[in-house]
Amino acid sequence: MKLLMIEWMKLKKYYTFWILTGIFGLLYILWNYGIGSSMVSIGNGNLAILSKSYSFPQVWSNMGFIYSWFVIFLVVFIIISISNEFTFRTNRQHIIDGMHRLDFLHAKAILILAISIGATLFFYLISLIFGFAYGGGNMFDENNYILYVFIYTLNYLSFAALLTFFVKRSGLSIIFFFAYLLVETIFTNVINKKLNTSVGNFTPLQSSDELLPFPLLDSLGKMSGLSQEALPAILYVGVSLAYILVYYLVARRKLLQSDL
Amino acid sequence: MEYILNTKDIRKSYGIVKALKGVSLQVPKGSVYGILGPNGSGKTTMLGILLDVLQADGGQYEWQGYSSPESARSNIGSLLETPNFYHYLSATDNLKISAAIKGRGENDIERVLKLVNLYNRKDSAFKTFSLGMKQRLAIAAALLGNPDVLVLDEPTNGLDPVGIAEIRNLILQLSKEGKTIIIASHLLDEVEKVCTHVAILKLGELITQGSVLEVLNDEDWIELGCENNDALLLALQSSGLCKQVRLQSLIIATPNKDVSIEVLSKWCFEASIYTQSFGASQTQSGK
Repeated sequence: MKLLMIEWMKLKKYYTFWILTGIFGLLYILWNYGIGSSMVSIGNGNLAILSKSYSFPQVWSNMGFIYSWFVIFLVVFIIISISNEFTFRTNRQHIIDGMHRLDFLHAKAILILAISIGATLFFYLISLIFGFAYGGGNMFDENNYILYVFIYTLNYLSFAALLTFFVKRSGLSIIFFFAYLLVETIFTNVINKKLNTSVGNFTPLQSSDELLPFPLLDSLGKMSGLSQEALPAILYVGVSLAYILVYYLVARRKLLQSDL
Repeated sequence: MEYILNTKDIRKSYGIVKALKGVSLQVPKGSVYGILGPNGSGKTTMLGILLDVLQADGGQYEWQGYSSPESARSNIGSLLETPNFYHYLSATDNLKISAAIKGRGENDIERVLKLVNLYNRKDSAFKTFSLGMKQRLAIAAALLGNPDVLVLDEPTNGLDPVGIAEIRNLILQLSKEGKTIIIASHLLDEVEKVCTHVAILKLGELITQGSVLEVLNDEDWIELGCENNDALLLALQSSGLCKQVRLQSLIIATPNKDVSIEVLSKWCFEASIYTQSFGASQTQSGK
């Protein structure tokens, strides 16, 4: 709790935090509102096809998929906030003030956990509102997507944090993050196609991407028989959590052994 | 003598550059201990290792009287190299973070800001501060919670002459309160003015260490202390027995040529001054 309070003292007057989380929240709502109100249409004319996917239970998977794009704003925030500690050497100040090196890592881990919980609650609330506003249905069906959204956020933010612990510069970390994302996507597709399996899905970020697939394409793929039989989501949850543990252990080793 | 810090054979390299080549220091409790040396001599590296921001390649160190390095560090106020704070936060907000890390309340913030003459800028953002003000804020952070030990790396860096005098007076004042203060400096004048003990580093090697008068002065000196050192200082100054008398953690007196330790001891006895501490440089004690 003390570590979280310290992180909050840093954040509450940090404009970048409010701007990036504000953009994340606002764009996410506006984007979904645009689709839900059929302002975004497919093909010629307003077919209102996509708006139907906002009723329960489809709302969870559809809004979860859209959420996965906007998490990038939170990723950028985590990279900037951690790299600032290295750039302005405030991490050094914390240590000479008496903070244990591991506490510095734990403070960031708790911040990531808090943001993931906050973002998941936001997703839950907005999905409920859209679900009730555009069709209704049983809100308790398929709400395991709430867990998937949480794991997805935790994995992406933790990976971004680990990358920043090594790179230490915000611009470079952001570039490396997107470069890695691109490389991993290509690698996953190539491996899956070449080996005709789903083994490529178990790369660090792809394992969480599998939790929030594009629902329409996913359904079409299964109907046409072109895509592999989906593995149980709980497997991807387990793999994602294992990766998060690995990130923690690597970051811990790095922080304990290096000069600050 | 009781030591607050013992280091043994500390070594550190940056690539092929050997920054510290086996440095062993003993810092007496209650002393103002200067680490003197030119730029690149390894002073900051030594302090960085002692404060756990750098990893030593070898050697050991021990903060005496503390069960663990963590419990020691919470009782050490430190300033290392340039001040590092959140540029968008005010002086008060930055100190609130330092206080939270140290596990201290926020009540002490006003006191330390006043001590370093920064109270009137307490609500200004760190990014608007001059180098001297940033340095003062770093010293304020070090003083938070009234720690027993202070580690200050070039504490007068960036300060104007008035600021330098203020900080030196503050160090002497804190020393009188019984705190142990370790100062790294490249200024001989600074070490002479405020330190009781000194270690001289050059190219990562310890050249010598000891009391300031032993190391930096060829003249004989006598170190003495009693219950009221301020009164003893005044009495010695007016006695005509000494060329120079200084109050550090104890009284350091440089006696006149014909005044031996026995003469000074007798004078104390006749003046009803009951000394609790009495020591002399090697040549004096052999007189």
